[in-house]
Parts: sequence; C-alpha cells; structure tokens
Amino acid sequence: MKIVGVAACTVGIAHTYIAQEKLENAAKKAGCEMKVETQGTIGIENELTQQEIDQADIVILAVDVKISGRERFDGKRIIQVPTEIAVKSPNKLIEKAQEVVAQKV
Amino acid sequence: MMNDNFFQVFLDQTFKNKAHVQRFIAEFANQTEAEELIALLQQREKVGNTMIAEHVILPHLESPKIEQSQVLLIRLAEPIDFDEKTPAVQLIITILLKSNESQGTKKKIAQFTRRLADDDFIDQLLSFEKEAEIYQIL
Repeated sequence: MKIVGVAACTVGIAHTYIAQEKLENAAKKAGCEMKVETQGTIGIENELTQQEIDQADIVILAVDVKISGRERFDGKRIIQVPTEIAVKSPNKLIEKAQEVVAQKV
Repeated sequence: MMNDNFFQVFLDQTFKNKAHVQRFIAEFANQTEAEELIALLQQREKVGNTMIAEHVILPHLESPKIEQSQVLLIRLAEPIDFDEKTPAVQLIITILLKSNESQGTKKKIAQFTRRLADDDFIDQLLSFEKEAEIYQIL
C-alpha cells in the first residue's frame, strides 16, 4: 500500500518533524510505503510530486494549520488529524488507513 | 555538534507545578520579557497538547523577544501533573526559536526534533544520570 501525507504544526519546528518521522516509521513497520511532506518554518521539504500523489492509495494529513497545495489531493481519500494524533498514535493511524483502503471497492 | 550553549540540560529540577516550569523557561529566554513569553506558552497549550511520549512534553516558542534560539532539556527530580491530559511529566524539552532565525539554525532544530520520534533516544534522555552523558548524545 502506498501512502502520502503532509505534516504541519503551528510554529512549524517541532511536531511537524516528529509526526513525519513517526508516520514514516509506523508505515514501514506495517509494510506500507509512505512519504510525508513537511510544511514547517523552514518551508516545504520532502515535497510530494503529483505522480506520487496519483499513485497513493490514501492521504494522511497530520496538520494543525491550513496547508498549502491542498487541492493536489482533490478526489483522493484523505484522513485528516491533528499532529498530536500522529505523534502519539502513529501505528493506529496507519492501521486506520489500511482499513479505509481495504473497504474501497 | 552545535555551538556549545545551543543545548542546555538541567537535571533533578524541583519545580512543583506547571507555572513554575513556565516561569523558569520564560525567564531563561528573556529575563525582562518573561510575562509575555509565559502568555505565549499558555497560548500554545490551548492549541494542542504538547506531550510527545509518556513523561515527555515539548513546549515551543517563537518570538522576537527570544534572544537566542536554544533547546532546553529540563528534567524533574519528581514527575508532576501539568493538567488532566498531561500527567506525570518528567522531561520538558523546550524549543526557543528567535523570530527570523536563519535557515541553518532552523534546520538543526528540525533535525533534533526528528530524533525525538525515536523511543530509544527518548529513553536515554529520561534515564541517563549525568548531564555530561546527555550532552554527548545531543
């Protein structure tokens, strides 16, 4: 399964990057491929390409603020949570994503 | 890895409640503008819980009143409850970010926060007995 995501928090220096690491690690553990773009105080890093977005089975947005380029995900299945959730329960979040994808007809 | 005082480690602190901790952080960042920084810390709390692991919280501040960007690791001798949702806090990792900080410094901070996703690293920060040991892994 392929997942793409975006992480962004208010100050953009702390939770953004922990959320990214935790999600990518949790996805790996669950046997999924995941790439998380970070929109922080540094700017956008690890930017998702349109191809990566098109190929993804699902999108996870771990965001506390409005993100730029949200329209890139139009028409995709999206799970949106605060960064807090991605930091505290990354494994559950990935499980949830797998369930949602499994339900897809 | 960075200029010497970028990381500041304080072990065995005896703060009794959240207000004490916030005052310590604010006064460390800027003695004369502490009140404003305390208000900022409280504001950030309202946005969301900053707990990142059991016993560990990560408050962070960005302000022009911050004189120098720094990371403070404050470890308490005895865990304290910050509030209902934030029980038994032992380690307070505080990120102080000066407004208009350079990209280079921001990237270093981001690199550090990424490491906080690693439970083993967190365990070390919680358990190492000497400040020198902690400085070594930062």
